[in-house]
Amino acid sequence: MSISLLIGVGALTSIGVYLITARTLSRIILGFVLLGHAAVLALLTAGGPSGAAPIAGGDAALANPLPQALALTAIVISFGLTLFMLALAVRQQTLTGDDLVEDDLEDQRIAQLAAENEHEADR
Amino acid sequence: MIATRSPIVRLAIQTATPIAIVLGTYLLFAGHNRPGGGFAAGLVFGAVVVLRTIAGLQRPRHADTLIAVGVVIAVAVAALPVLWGDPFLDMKIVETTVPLLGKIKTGSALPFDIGVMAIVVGLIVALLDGLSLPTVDDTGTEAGAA
Amino acid sequence: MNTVLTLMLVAPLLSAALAFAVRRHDQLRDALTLAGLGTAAGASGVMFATVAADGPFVLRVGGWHPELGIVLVADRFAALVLPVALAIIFVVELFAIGQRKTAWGSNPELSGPMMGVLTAGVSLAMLTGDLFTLFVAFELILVSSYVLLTHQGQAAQLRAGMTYVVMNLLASTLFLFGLAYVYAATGTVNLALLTERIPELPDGVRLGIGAWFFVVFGTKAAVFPLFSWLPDSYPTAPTTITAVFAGLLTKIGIYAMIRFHTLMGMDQLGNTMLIIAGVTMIVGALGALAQSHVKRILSFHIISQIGYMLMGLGLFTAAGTAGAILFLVHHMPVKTVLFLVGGLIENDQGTGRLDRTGGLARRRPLIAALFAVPALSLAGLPPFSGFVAKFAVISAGIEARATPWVVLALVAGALTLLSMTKIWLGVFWGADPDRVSVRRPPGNRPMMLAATGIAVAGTLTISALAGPLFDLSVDAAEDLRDPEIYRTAVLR
Repeated sequence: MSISLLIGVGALTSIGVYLITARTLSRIILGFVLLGHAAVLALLTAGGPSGAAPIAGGDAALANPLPQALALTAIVISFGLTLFMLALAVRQQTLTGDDLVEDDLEDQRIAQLAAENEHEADR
Repeated sequence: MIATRSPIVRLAIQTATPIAIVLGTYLLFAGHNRPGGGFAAGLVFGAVVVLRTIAGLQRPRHADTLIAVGVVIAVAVAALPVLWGDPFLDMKIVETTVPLLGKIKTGSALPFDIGVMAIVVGLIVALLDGLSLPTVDDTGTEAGAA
Repeated sequence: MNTVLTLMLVAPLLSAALAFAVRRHDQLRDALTLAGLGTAAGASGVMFATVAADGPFVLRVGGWHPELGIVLVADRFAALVLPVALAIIFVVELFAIGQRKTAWGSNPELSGPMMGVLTAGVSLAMLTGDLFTLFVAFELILVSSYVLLTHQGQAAQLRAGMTYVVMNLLASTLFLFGLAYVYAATGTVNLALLTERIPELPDGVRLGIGAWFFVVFGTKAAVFPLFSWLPDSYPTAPTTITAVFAGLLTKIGIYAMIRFHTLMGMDQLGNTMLIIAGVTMIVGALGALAQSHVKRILSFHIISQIGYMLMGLGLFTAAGTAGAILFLVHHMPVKTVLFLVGGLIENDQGTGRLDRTGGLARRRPLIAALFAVPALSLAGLPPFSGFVAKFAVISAGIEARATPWVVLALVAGALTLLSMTKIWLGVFWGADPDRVSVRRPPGNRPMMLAATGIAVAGTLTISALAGPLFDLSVDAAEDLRDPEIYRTAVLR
């Protein structure tokens, strides 16, 4: 298990988490791209040491093929989801003029109620 | 769809197109036991479509047909073995000797890969349509369940 | 059996692709979609009968050994839950075809085919025998649900859809990290092999994995601190889509949790689960009381009911697991029907807001009757299925001496009844509303009423068969609590 890969996982995760706490959708998407990479790296790290291509008939130490298959599938899925989120962001841009993620609806209602109550108390 | 007017970009993309198509085809056929496969080939072909669209050489079209045909091919190849009692997604390997080319080994993974490739290209074409900024009149109306 | 399992995955996908290709021909598209969904539902019925007769069936995809390849496992748990789920999707699609004839339906060109993809995802999620394929199935379900939720592209849907997408994508990413941990610790993602290797791990690693997957599945299932995406996003989608989501999506999270945590013997997480279950029940029920829109009330109830299933699971006794399974089987159709009726109300009145509706019991007695049955069942009144399911969970709680959670469950049940009464008072009794609805309601088509009627009949059947169903749940729970059965079935 290589330490440099693990540092890579850590770095990508921290940057990704930082980005998805942003309010603009484009940054959130970038954050998810990085988090996806981090997860794929973690999967590869989990697969143990590297080795020759795992094809039957070779006699060198072979790499474990399973995590690579899993990683490839994960890459394909995150590719599709990234594109879909980009399409959503574009759509929101045309509808509202920006790509901000808005406040939670329930939060807005509670804030509104609180403001009304305060207003009542003032009178 | 925004297309560039730069003649350099156009010429470069025009030159690159056949090279990329050869590379994509290689990846498609090599995928059986070397790095490559339907998804990688689809991405290369999709990149060709994207570049040619940017250069204004073509318009992205037929996304629906590509996706539908791709899914049908891939699912059918996956399900066919069931008809003669083999498990779902079972693979048949075919080996023949062709004059001039020598021994050729391929399998039912190839049509499956072709299906995957069609889906990937179709999705990229669909997204070129979806991601291009729409005109004002198709932003939708405010109606329905709120 | 080989063919049957394959059909459940292939038929909906194939019909989705074909329906998408001919999506501009209304009748052909709808016929294809129904054929695909119907085939899958029929196949699941055959699976149920076969598994009941011959025991679990395992399909090795591509003929690979479980260590390397994908296995599909039809054990008694999957064989009990999957037919209910697929039947629900079929009935909702009938409703959707009726509703599309009115102006308020979902966009038919996309929603029909996407429902097929969703169905394939649901089948795969319930049948799969390894964690990674479960991840793929979740993604299949989520991708199609993202599209279904946002395909009309209205501002409210996009806003809500965004929360939904971001939350669920985060859960998926965590799932992927969890897979990496499991693989690093055990060298496999196959559930049957994991039942052998996870108990051998040191306690810290084992419980860490359990807790990690509890968070992942808990986000999908909308348990207490992770539910905020649900009540915002569900009500904005068209009725049929919300109905399917409400009936199935969170339940798949619970299904995965029941399967994973019971098979892996994560008993030590039981207390944590019980605490979260209790809070989930109460918060969901209180949240529902604070709402004044039919669909929002119902959305909060999903959360509350998830708490009951989690409670059954968290007890980690045979009776508790059986109760959770029975609750799952009862809850899926009942919740779907309630949302369908919510859609009928909206189509009739132009809105689902309680202050702008009223007197519907007099003018539309049929809708009132269709609402009353599942509502009483949801609240847990005898003789409906909700009573039996709640009774199973609560008596398991008493048996395990988990008194505080039993009390919380009873309180949540009373609160549920209260908010069902609120809907009844607001929508069905009282004076006719002053005509304030801006939008002219399109009314209901016979097909919508018929589909809802079929679904209500389905819930009544479940009530009538509650006894045998409970026995089946006990069988399914036995299979899950003894990993040896699962292991021998898969690795044989």
